[in-house]
Amino acid sequence: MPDAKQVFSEIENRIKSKPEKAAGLNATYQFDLSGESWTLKIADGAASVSPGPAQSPNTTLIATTDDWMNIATGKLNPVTAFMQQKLKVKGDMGLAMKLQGLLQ
Amino acid sequence: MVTDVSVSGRAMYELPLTQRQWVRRGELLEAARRIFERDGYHTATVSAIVQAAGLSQGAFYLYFPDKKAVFAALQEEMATLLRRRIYWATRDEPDPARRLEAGLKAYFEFYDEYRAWNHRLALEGLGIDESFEARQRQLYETLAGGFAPTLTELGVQHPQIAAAGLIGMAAQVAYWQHYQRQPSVAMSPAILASVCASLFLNGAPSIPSPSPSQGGPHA
Repeated sequence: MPDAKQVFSEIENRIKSKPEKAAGLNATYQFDLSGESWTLKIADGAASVSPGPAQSPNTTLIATTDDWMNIATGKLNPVTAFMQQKLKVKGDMGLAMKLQGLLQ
Repeated sequence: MVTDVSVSGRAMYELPLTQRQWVRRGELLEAARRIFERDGYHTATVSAIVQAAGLSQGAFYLYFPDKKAVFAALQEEMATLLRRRIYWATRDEPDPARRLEAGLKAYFEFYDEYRAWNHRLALEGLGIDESFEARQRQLYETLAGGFAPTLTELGVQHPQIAAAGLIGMAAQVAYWQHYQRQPSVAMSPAILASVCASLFLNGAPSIPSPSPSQGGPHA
């Protein structure tokens, strides 16, 4: 099982290698996972990931680390997680949904 | 080396923009999956889906134009889950033989978890129309393409053909495990993966003999 850092690095690398996945997307995501926060910034087809909270996130996703890892690795459907309140979203919902495409 | 089963350049669906719409769409998808699993594609109706979701018929048409569209959305969603699972199950395994087995295990775990859906796809998915068949073919091609580099590492000649054979074998074994095997003593995904990897790489005589408790041939 990978850890959260590996998952975020993977998202960052995927956008670097396939910038078309994030074309036109400019957003700052904050992930609050079981007491630790991560920030994913996407701008002009480039992404950067850093540990810690964002200054002014467009969207904050809240989940336990286990649930987030299950979502990222395909063991939990994100929509099901949201419906079961295992995944909560604050801020721009449209940006949260676009994240699905970046996880593919 | 990883089993890269990602899809690039895929057009995203027109996604709903509010939490409420996302939940509604999710409820419809969940309900549709249950109805398709229970009734099959041809017998399932939009009325049964909205009834199972506890929504109105009008709500359905806000998100999907027809039954075919919701089935297609489910097919895409399930394919995404499978691709992610195989990718992450194999990503950090340096040994190609163990990576192959890890990918197969992820495949069998997915089939086991969504057995009713996979059963419907196996029975009906290819007989619905060309677009369903094309999506399923694309998934198999993506999975085969993901396994091909691992097979190359293992010295396999014609890795694309071999990978297509590998995926076909896994699909048939999964179907046999759940719907044809008698008596129905379940083999774990790990055992199925081990057997299939051994069969694929070393031939049938190399298949290990699992213990009866593992659902082996003497069980």
